[in-house]
Amino acid sequence: MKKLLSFIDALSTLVGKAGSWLILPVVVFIGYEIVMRYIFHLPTLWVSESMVFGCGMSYVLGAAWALKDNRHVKIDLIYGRLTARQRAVIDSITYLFFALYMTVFLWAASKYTWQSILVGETTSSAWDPPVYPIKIALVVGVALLLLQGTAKFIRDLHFAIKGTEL
Amino acid sequence: MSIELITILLLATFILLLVTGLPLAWVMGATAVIFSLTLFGPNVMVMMVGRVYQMMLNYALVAVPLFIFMAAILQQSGVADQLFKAVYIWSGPFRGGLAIGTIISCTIMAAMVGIVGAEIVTFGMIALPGMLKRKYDGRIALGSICAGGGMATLIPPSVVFIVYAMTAGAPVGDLFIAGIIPGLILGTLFIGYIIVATWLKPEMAPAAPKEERNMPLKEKLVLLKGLIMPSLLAISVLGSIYAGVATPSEAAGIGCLGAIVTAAVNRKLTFSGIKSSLYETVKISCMLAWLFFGAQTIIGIYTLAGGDQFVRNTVMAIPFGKWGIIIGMQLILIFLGMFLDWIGIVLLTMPLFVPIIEDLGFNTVWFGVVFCMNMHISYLSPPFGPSIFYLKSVVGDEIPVGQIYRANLPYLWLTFVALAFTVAFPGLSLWLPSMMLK
Repeated sequence: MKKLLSFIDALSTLVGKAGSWLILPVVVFIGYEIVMRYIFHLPTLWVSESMVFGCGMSYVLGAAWALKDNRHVKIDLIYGRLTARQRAVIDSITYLFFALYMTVFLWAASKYTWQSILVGETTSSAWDPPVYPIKIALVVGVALLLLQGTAKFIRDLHFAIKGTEL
Repeated sequence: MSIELITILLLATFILLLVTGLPLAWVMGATAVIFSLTLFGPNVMVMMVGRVYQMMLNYALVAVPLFIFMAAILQQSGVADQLFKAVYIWSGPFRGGLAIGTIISCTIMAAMVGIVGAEIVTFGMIALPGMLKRKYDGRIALGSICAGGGMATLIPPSVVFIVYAMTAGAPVGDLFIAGIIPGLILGTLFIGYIIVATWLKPEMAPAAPKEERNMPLKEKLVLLKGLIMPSLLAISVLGSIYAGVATPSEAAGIGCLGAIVTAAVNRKLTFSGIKSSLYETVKISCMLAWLFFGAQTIIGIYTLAGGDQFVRNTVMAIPFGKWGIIIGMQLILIFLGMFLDWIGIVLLTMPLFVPIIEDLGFNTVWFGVVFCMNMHISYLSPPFGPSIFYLKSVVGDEIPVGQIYRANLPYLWLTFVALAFTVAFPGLSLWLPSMMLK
């Protein structure tokens, strides 16, 4: 079990790190676009869409990693005053709501993406790239979130019952 | 089910899940899923995924990760140290010079950095030790950092403005420019408070030792170099928006390149620095993006259930005409600000409030500036004042949270004054954007 959990951690981290590298080309593209537009008077067709594609993919690919590092904001007015074990008990219960959200979202996102792949949907702009890579990234990101959340749930449950870290 | 009942059940589910410590993003999503399944059936969720997908590919949202990346690079670039040193030596002759220097430096930094956390942490590390060593009163020292750092909400390029613009459908560039004058008014009020307070009670801020102040003019001039890069950077980001050269999202990219150049000039640019900035950026922007996604889903479901009409009717029933409604909204926002982070507030209330504001004939850009003032208040006010926790993360156990709360109070009241000015005189916000080149 321990091995499986650390594999999930490693997977989330790897995908998240990969996603973070999408930001750098976005910055470079913007610089390129500004130079092309004002110095060569040749505005590009593809930069503004690449910007949203790069950033859009990074939001979904890094989410599981942010979850692993406990970065999603919560209100800790009461939660913050509990002991670690009490928190683990509560987290194990609220996991059900997280899992409900992610499972339904995963199903809906897969359906949404599958429809798009079937018709070969493109953005119908001048550049006209296909949109399925972003939609697939969304499905992958949600699946990873569910996986990472479940790994956290198993750890919480173990800690809640046994009082020791898994 | 009637819309009144749905609203109550929705709020009850939302609050119940929120106090259990489930992250806000999942609270919004889970509440939305529960209500979409019971009210409409599963296929509505496919529609909601469509809304989330639109949000993922939102052009204005691109500016958020880019400004975060810019702030992360700047934090390592040493630019804040140089800036603070220059400003503080030049404001040396004043009593409370370090605190005044903190406010001025925060204002200049805020013109490059759009996130409050980065500002408070940076100046908590740079400016606070010096003030405490000089035995500054806590009200001056701690308060000036929280209040000054909070100005990143109002001084462009503020991430709060970007998010407001996206939810309200207002132009980001106009909002950025509109925030400048109210932001400067706020800074002036803070500096005025420090001058008056230290004049009335000189023991609150002992003056700098003579030898430290009486630096030869030549050395003082050399220190001004610390202002060059920050000014260039702020001008290139804001100037390109103001002059219509670049969209705000592109300006954020220009800012990132500028930050990298600044770090390189200071010989602080490393590969591992870029890498850690990217990692930090993606974690923060994923956290923010999933809040957007959750909010899109819950607001989408609530609107489908007829909630927008219900909120409109309820708000319209506030007495004393349209100003009564504006003041009522302020009170709601300030109240929410005590418990919720700004991002939760903007995402949950603005889709419902902004159409009402437009119907009443108010300007959405002006309302955005007013909203940012509200959020500055929420940053400073207990019990959930993010600025306090950011500063607490730097000072450690030496200074109790209660002391930081009390230190913030004078600045909090001054922010209410600035809020009153912004509400009463829309021209303060709207004059500069009206001069913009488009």
